[in-house]
Amino acid sequence: MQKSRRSRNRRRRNNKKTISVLPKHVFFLLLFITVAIVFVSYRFPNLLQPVRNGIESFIIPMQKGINVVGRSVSDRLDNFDTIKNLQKENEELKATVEALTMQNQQISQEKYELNSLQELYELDVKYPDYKKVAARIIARESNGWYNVFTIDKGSKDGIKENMNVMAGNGLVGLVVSVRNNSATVRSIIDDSSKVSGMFLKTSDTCIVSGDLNSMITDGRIKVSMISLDADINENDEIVTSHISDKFQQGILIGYVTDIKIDSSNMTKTAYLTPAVDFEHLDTVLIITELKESFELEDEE
Amino acid sequence: MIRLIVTFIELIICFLLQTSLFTFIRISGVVPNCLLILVITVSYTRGQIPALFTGFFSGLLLDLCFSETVGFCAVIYMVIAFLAGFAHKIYYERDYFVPGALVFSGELVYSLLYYILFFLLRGKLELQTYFIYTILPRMLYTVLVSLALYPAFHGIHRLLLRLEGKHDD
Repeated sequence: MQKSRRSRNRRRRNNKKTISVLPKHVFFLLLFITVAIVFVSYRFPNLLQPVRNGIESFIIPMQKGINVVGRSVSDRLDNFDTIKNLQKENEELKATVEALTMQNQQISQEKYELNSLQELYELDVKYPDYKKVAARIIARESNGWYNVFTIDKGSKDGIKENMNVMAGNGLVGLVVSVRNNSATVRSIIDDSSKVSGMFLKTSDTCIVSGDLNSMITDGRIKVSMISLDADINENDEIVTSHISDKFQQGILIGYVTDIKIDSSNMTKTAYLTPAVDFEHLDTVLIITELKESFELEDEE
Repeated sequence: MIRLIVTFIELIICFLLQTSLFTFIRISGVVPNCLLILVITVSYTRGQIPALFTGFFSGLLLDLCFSETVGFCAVIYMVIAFLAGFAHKIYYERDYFVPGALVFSGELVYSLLYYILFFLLRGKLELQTYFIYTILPRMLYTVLVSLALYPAFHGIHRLLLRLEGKHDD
């Protein structure tokens, strides 16, 4: 009796084995599906937009909740800063404020003069005040390789692709994809990012490209294609250039260091320290105007 | 059915841990790869086929949220799930060394595949710096976190087995 049951069991198990699918078949099937998805998402990026919107409406509220908790905890940790440090910093800040107030007065006088001169010459204002929207960072693609993050404003708040993102007075990056209530931003320190820059003093153009290698070793990114006879010095400011087709003109990117002549003897290369502290970034400003060159392309 | 829902919830929790919570406690700029821990746990405790699906969906979730071209992370997670699934044959419930070693080597495979797909193909050759500053800290951090996450997921797995009325052989 017992023996027959055991043999029946064994037979049942054997039957099961012949019906069941082998893991490698599942693997190749899923691999095939994934490769198909890669091609579809590359060829028709808009096709997956409804899926992205669906996931977003499900994930974003939870991420927001976690962020509230996380931020309050990290704020509390920051509070342990000693009073001495704070006092010292306060004194330094007071000194800077005084110096800046002086400077500001001077500049506002000059600005007044500039405005009247511009009116006389009927020139357009070179650096207009861009309209901005503030947003919070709610998630990061932080596998250590890329510097991409999600913000809590999307197409419902008027965010569009290719809008510029700032923090404080420095450039953070570019909106690369938009969903209903969130958007993805690629920062300028990301390895695949390239920004057309310009030296504020001399208007020499250059290319500012993100570089993971120099970013993780000493917090700098690369500047290349500087003209050989550009009259530039260490710590000169680099802003976004007039020839960039995505970035608005005149946003501060950072300060240049380590200027060297290229091995080709045709151009100079240098490193750039970003004006934004990417390590402690949590709110950003999005410029809600797109660079005009897009409209020009449409008219053609 | 219950198992499907539970795995789905575990996946979402790992995703949230990785993209939101751990970004507040980064060590040398990296966060642990929690989704990898889940994929490894599933492949070690339940075998290749469930692990392949877990890897497929966790990679897809990451890609849909962060990258323009969808699918690369899914491929990487599936490769790891398939390879780690072979270790299911030596599954033993009180063994914590094998899953730890699997997570450690899984993260290495993940990083190397990621490097080849996204950096080597663009002509970036500085693997040494990437290894010291990104890959190694991430491997260690992930293993450290897996010390907490693996027992939790494993416990849930045992609980579900008992609910289903099955016993391990």
